[in-house]
Amino acid sequence: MNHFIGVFHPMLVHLPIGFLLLGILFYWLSFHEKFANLIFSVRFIYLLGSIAAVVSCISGWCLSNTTFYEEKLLNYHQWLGITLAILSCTLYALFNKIATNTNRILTVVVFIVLCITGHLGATLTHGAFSFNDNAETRTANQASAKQPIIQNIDEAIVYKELIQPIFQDNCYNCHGASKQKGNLRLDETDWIVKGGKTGAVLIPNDAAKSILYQRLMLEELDKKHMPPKSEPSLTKNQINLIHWWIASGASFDKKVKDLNPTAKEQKILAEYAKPLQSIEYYPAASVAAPDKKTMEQLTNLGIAVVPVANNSNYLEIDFLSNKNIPKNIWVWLEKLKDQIVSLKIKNNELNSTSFNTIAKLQNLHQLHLPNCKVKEADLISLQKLKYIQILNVVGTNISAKGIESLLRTMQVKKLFMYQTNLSSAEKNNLIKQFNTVKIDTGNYHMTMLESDTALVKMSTK
Amino acid sequence: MSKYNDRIIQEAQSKKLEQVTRRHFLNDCVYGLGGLALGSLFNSCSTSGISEAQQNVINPLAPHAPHFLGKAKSVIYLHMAGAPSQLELFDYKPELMKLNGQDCPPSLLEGKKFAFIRGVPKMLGPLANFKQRGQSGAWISDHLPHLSTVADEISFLKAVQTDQFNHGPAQLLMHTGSARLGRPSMGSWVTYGLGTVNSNLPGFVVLTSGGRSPDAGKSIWGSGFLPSVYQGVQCRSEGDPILFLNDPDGINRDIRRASIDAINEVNKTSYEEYKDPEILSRIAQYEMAYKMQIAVPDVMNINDEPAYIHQLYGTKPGQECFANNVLLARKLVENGVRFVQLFDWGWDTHGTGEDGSLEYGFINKCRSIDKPITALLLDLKQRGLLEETLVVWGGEFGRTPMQENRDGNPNAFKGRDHHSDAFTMWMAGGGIKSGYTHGETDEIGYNAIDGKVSTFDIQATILNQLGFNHEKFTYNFQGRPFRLTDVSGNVINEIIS
Repeated sequence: MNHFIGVFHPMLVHLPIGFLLLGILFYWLSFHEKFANLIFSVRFIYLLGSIAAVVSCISGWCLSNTTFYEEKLLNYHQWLGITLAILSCTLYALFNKIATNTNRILTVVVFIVLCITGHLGATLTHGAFSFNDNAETRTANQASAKQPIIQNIDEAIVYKELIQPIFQDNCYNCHGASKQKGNLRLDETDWIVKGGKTGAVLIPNDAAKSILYQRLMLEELDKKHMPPKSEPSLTKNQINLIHWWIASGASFDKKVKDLNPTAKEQKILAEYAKPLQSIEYYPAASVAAPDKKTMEQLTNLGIAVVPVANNSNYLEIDFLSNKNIPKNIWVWLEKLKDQIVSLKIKNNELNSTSFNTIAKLQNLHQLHLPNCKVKEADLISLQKLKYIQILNVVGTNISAKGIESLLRTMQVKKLFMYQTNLSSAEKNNLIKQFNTVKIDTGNYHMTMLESDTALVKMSTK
Repeated sequence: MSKYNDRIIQEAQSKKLEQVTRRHFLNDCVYGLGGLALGSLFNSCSTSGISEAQQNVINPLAPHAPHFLGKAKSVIYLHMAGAPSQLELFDYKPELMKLNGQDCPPSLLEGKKFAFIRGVPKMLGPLANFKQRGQSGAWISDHLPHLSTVADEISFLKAVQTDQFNHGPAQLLMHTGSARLGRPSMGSWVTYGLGTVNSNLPGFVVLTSGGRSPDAGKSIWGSGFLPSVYQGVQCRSEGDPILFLNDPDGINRDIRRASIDAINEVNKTSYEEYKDPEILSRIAQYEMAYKMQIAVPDVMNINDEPAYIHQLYGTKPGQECFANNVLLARKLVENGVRFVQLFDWGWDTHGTGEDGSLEYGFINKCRSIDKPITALLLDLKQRGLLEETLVVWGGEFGRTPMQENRDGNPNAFKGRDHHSDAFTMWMAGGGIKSGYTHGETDEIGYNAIDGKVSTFDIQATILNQLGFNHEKFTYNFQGRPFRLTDVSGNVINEIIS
């Protein structure tokens, strides 16, 4: 019975909101000569509002008994709701008995309490309100989401290090502290074991019968498929991991090696163990918008100036095939010094002035200077650029010493140095010395094969 | 020059006025009213339906930022037109060898439709030797000895599926998202979304080899309902790279400039009047053609490349061949072209003739692509370009584990029929995992059993690598937003690094 009354709460609450707002509106309008007649209906509307508020309180009480909500939020909502019901009754009862000013103050108080209670109620059912919750940011985050690296995969606790992060990224929003759709919480082990509206979601050793797994395997357009259609689905690997975890007992404290992963799981687990060459392409902090006019001037010179993404102010600059760079270009580039994160110049001669400017591009993450004529001393002046992740000095006349001093101070993750004048001993030495940097020395060759030029033909009869 | 321009505009105006007779005027009144009514009926055809964002009035090819940071800045798509056999290249099936020469069990034929197989065909074991290659242990046959050495750069998709088993529709589906004509191609979508960073070159270039154009014709690089400025520009690796681009004798570049200015002026006034976006396309194309006259011969000339590069790619300057196109693709990408599409014709190995047989013609086709593609991957890598260039390889569908028996009789040579249920494609570079295999087929390579991937998933993944959310990347046409992947497509997260 409790449950039956409870389900009507989300619908019923709109009645007191509507009635009370209407009453307050009529009350304030009635001070205007044109709407003076409205004053006669105000008390009756207050009566309706008070009754609706009391009914809402009762249904809310029933709902809170049958469904889990975050306790703190629920407490606030509950007591504010009761306060509101009392206040609206007071408003009705004292309407004709108190001075106009008191009446006015009372309406303002009711209005504020009404708003807060309503907002809290909405937060309970729909989760915290956020301006950023659009698909764009979600996809962007998803695209850059990094898989955690697990150092010793055999010793890792399966639930804590593999399964929980999947739940956290994909399920907590609706089955966590702020919301419990289907009465299910997945953020604490106790809640997971307890299950949801339809009972236990986890049947250890039997993944096929576990609702938690079944819902992942439904057709994507199925209403019960999890995560819902509007959210990105789990990857096949993640689903396989969950299957493996449930099928081997759904234990919350066993380690990977205890669950005897087969070849199939080993392959997935290997992905976790692989250290990812995570390259940052632009800073996490946002930056002021670049000067439009400077961008236009550069574009008119045939230089590509493109933001990294729709909603970002960071810029990628590519000189393309421009051979003759006007001198004032460096002045313009300097005006964009905070925004430029990638700079590509090829087949050009660069002097100290150019490098003075490049060294000021403090947010530079990628620098490509293939086949540029540069002085080594100038190149070394770039040491200050601490964020550079990808450095391309293909075809420049930089020496081993120059590269060494750059790599020592910069945090380069990938270095391209094909067609430089280094001897193979020097190259090997660099690769050995900087084993965290991915150094590509190029100069790849393919063995000559007879089949490269020969054709197969049917023997002539 | 403005004196001449004025004259041309005057002439254009007076010509137009001359055409307006009383009869025309009365006609116009009737049609005009009808047109108004129609205009509101076909909302998309009226300019009011096209937002400013969709149509950059000044320069439709101006560079744009994608939705989010794209790891790939450009795409080189290698399409083996005719559909190569996955069973002789990447999908190793020792079980199929055991069944070689036996009748195909009826369970495999029930409810299936084939392009040419009739009755009960015989099973055909793999006609190649396979080995596991590199650290990743990917299976690659001896037909591709060079590519085998770079297996660790590649992510294989072993269970690609399509729903078309004829070349034309399947190619259309792969490149435009629809098996029927009329949709924009992938490259057009990308150019529409990203513009072109190098204003001297088109954003979308198409190169063909193998002696014939792909079966679906030029519509697989067409712009569909997008403004035609976004369609692929076909270049030739033999003779003039782009036809009709040179100035005629006696016309120098200044005169050409002046005449283009004048024509554009007239076109601009005409755009002001009619607001037809195709006029803008025309203006942009005149400008582009003028700039391309200088830039294209430079980029398209592979003779200046050093000898070791020619040796690496195995190019044959002056001839139309796949190797030349691959080298050109690298040069184009290096110069800021976003989408380079290569079509190599001649992979349709039914076994009806020597050239189309798995024992002869197919091996020669493999040899013609093996070295260039491997060279491309290595060359892009050493130049630091593989990081931001997505290389995609594939056909429009796969081939059957059964030997083709056209009209019930075994073919003269060994060959396989079209097969849409499972085939192999691969991607490399551009933020794709290196040395990875996704998807699996059954023991004879007939059905996909794990990691199934549709043509839409491939498109969604390519767009994702370029920084687009394929579900948000739309164009309004005929009253509804259209997208490349229509109503399906999932990004293949498994192969993204």
